[in-house]
Amino acid sequence: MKYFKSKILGLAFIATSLLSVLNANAQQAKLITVKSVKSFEMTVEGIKKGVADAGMMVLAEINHGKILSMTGLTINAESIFIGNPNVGKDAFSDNMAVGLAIPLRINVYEEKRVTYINYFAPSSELGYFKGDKVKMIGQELDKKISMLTGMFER
Amino acid sequence: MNIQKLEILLTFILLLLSAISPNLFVIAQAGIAQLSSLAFKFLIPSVTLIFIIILILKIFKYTELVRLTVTGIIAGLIATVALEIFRESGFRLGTMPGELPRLMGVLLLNQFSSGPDALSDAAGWVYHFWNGAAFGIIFSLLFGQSKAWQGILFGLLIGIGFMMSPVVKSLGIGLFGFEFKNGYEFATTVTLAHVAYGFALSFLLRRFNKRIPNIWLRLKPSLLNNYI
Repeated sequence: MKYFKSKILGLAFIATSLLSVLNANAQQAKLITVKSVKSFEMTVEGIKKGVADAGMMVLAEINHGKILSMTGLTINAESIFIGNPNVGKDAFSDNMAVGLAIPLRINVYEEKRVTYINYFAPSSELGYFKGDKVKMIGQELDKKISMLTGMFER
Repeated sequence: MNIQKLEILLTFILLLLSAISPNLFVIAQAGIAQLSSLAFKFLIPSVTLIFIIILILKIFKYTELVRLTVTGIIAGLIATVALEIFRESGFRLGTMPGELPRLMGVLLLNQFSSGPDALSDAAGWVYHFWNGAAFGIIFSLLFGQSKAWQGILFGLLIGIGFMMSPVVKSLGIGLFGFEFKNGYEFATTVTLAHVAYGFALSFLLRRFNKRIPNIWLRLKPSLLNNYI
């Protein structure tokens, strides 16, 4: 009896550990990288224009290239923060902590003359936060961003 | 208020106003306030007041004080060129972590996220050179016809003050820039640049401020007369 008890306890421990590992993996934000067929400048401009069609707006921009030029580094890289105040209202109403994940950040950079767009899938980032509405918004934003960045793959 | 008292008062006001500009960048980098708002609240008013006081001094014929202030501005501006020879060379050789005048520009215009452009660069350089002029006024008012060692010491003190300030801390290179590269490049460049500034300042003011003694010798008779 004692033998079985310790066996069951051992199995339960392994199962709990496995579950926590799986859970941690599931909680990791999913990084998506898209190779753009357009130049860096055209990709940045295209995203800014395409954001309106996706029902969002550019809320802020960080021009890494220009900022880093102050340190003597010459690169092409820019982050664009996009969002929609109404969607934000829904998300924040559901969970006040979502400000960490929204507005969404799309990063455009050039490496060896090839332009890339990368971002964390909104559903994976918003997945960290409790709230059904938040999760639903994440999934909707996944589609919107995928459509937006997909324009540059063709 | 008699003329002597007014001269003492205006001298101290000029010293105080000149000290405002260089300290704003430090205050901003300490996270106390944004440089853009400090510029509107303190920088522009302090610069304007300095020129108004020069005008008042000219009207009331305080020729010596006018001369000290104006020569301080001119010498400070020229001495900043001497500083720039070392600073800019240092930046291009990789002994400085960044272009501070450009950083000042984006902070002044509150456009860090979009990065520097022609306007922010212009603002940053003007601010940088004005700081040189402001230190020039302070040095000229304090020392009059200065000596080389006074200039070198003055430059060294500014350099040390800068390397201990929140500006350097905010660059993420530690006190005196010891955490940057091998630990000595930044401190060497900054020290050389500020010694060059101080030396150039004293060299010029030795010629511009001929026969004008230091502040103590100038104001002592007035101070003693008022005291007695």
